[in-house]
Amino acid sequence: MALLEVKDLRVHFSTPDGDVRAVDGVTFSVGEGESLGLAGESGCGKTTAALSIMRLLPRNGRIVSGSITYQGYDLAKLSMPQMRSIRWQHISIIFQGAMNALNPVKRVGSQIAEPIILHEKVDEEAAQKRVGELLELVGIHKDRASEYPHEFSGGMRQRVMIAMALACNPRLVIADEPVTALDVMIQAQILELLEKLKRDLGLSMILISHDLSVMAETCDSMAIMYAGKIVETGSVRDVFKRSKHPYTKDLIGAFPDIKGARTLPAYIPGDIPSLIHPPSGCPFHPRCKLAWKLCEDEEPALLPVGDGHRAACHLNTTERPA
Amino acid sequence: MTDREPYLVLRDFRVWFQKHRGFVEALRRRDPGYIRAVDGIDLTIGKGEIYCLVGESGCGKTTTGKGILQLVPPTGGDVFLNPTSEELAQYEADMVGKNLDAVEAFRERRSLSYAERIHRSPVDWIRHTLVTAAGAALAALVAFGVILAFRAVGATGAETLAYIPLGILIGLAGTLPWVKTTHHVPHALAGVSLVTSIATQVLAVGASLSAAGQPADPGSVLATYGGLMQQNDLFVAFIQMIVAAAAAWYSAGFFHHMWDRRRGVVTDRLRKLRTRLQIIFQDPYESLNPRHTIYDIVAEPLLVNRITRSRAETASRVEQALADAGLRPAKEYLLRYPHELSGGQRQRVSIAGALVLEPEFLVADEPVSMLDVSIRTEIVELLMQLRDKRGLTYLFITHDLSLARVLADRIGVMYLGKIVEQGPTEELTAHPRHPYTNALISVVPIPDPDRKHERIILRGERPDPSDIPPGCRFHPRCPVAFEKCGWTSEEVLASLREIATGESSDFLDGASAHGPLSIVWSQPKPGCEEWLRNLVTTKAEAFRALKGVRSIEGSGGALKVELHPFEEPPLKSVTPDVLVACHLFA
Repeated sequence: MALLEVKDLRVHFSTPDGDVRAVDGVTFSVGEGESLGLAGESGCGKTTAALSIMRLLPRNGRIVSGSITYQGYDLAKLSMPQMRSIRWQHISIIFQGAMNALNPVKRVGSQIAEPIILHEKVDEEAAQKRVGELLELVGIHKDRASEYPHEFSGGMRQRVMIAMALACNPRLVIADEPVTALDVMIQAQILELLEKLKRDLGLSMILISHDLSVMAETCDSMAIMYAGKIVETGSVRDVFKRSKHPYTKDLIGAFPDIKGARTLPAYIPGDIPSLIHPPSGCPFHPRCKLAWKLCEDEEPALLPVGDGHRAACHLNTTERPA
Repeated sequence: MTDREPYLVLRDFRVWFQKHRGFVEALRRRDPGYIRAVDGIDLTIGKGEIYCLVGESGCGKTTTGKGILQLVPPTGGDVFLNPTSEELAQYEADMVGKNLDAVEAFRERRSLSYAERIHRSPVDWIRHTLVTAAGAALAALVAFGVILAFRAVGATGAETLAYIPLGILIGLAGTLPWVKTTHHVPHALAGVSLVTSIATQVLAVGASLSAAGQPADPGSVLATYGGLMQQNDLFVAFIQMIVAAAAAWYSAGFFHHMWDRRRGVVTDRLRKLRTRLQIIFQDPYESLNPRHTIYDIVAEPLLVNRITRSRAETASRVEQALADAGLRPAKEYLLRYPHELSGGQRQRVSIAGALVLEPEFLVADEPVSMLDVSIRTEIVELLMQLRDKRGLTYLFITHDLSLARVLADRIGVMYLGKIVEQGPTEELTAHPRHPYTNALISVVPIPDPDRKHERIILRGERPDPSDIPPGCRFHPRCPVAFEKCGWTSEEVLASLREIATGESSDFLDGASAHGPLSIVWSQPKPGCEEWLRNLVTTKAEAFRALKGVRSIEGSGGALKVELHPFEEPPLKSVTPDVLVACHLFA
């Protein structure tokens, strides 16, 4: 039984130039204690998908259709007060850019205490006690709760963000690029911490990143997004080892491997397509090395290609004309 | 080293930043304290080579790049550009042979960072001001004395005039040998004023005495001089003295400034160099002026350096640079603004801006870290093509070891302002020797779920570069640090305290550090010595500071722990190509 199921989610942003179809029919699910990786280039809709689960879309964004089912509730249709009882206590988010996500003029401890006081209706003292526990949990001495964000290093701030996300014992944590701006060593520390928390607290996690190699090390399953659509999804091993979509292969090929051959990694020529006027057929066809006529005309469906492994590419269903 | 001709050579290159202090702090403490961002780097980059500096953020790799271009002033050490191998060998030989005059001469002639820019503390500033003021006051005395001399001599003024240049010459001869560096200039100036003043006055009074046919022995000269002081209109002389002081003050400052400019390559020399040395910055979203068109951005270096003679020439060079940077057709980009371009295209504009002057050397400061993975390779490939086509030399700064691995000829690993390991890419990534390099490589994520590998995750974050640990600067985080790596009594005490708190024992009562290498218990609890001996044998793997304990002596009721002496490991060759700064390889 999946903890969270997203079905055919469509999110549009209205802009003066027309509607931006940031998320365009996305379906995925996260099981109990599972971690799902959402990967793709910038602008592919990963963060928008996460924000719509939390119902935190900016003013000009709206969920057009689709459902987000969490324990029988459709989050896409809940009212804001109802949604408020889901946030933090059930689903929480670690925002992108820990450097800037904390309020610089408030002490770290009181920022972590805020959701606790708000959601669990406890008094200041109990909240501060919980803050101490949370900080210790993420490896910060509890006496540092009274410091300001600028007194923390980048890695420490990211730990604070994680502590904050765990404040009300959520069951699902969405981590939006949790290690992107960090150094490799700090990155390893944070990933190790996330893994430990996942193990110890039995958390489910959605990890959003453009860095596939990070996912290879931390996730159970993953979904590759391109231009608002999922092009391939499955277990990490399936996606990496038995990729059934040219984009996935190209993306994996773009990562240099420190233990592999010493050659320049490949790159994907061209730019990501406009989301206002997406290309006809398969959104990836203008950049795809293997595209042919059918790819321009018809959009491939996300079809099973193995056990729990699905891909959206005509190559899997049709013989490519020579 | 490499078989290439050296292009850029750094020797003991240092960039320090003075710490910010409050006014009271500044008054109370003489030593301002420095953030040693780059703390003595020796580096030789060959012609056409790609040298990668890697390390955590804050290790000083960007500061090194900026320091070479003097975008931040280097504190010390040298940057030599394009020295011949013979020159360099001679310089090294002179260094070893302590032939300091030759070394100094070579540095003055060739080093880009020769200016010894010492960051001045407020105390220095006050002293400096006082010295300049004294110089100015003495210069004013000269004027005063000359006035007096004129009045004393009266009619024979024309003769006295001849004594003024003579006095100045005596002053110069007496004080110029003091001038060794910039900072001696005000002192020398003060000296010139003093000697000139005395010499001119004595000469003039003596001359006037002998002109009047009187005895000109020192005693009578002095007596005459005192008498003259009383006769004169002191107010007029005072005004004249102030005017002279102002003039002297100004000229002292001006002289000082000119001296600085001559010693440092601040003006023309540096500007000419900038056409040969260029930099590509990290973030293409922030390094381009949003209100300039692409044409303005790329043409600017040509205009400020007055390279091109006509607009047509500028336009053609801008187009050429854009095309070389992969923006084709270049004409389409000229009138666009940065916001109309994607991240990859912006970075190409940055590269075009650096290329337009046809430099020989590029500092590429994390040029792809802000870009999407799918386009990083495009940019890297472009940089490598430029090397092949134009013979560019690169200092490539990155924290991404897997990227460094595919493009670098050699890699240098920096930690807290120093290079801890350097070697050919293949050798360094396959067989890292320094424990830090080893850890860094082990945490690079691998894009393959089947290859799980041991990750060596270093605890904590890098220490503050204003408080660099003694001994090996990496030892507090090093997973294999041993006896002589630099454990101090404070660190050992901290570890002991941690253990004692865990066991809730009170053996540490009365323990204190005596200097960096010993800890003394004045009244140790019974059993304390055994407790310590036990800890050193059982806990030293988990608490590595305990490895630093050399001896435990209990005598006469006191307990003393001595630590191993230590020193900082120098960067030494392990194989002909690989240099490592680690005691494991000493």
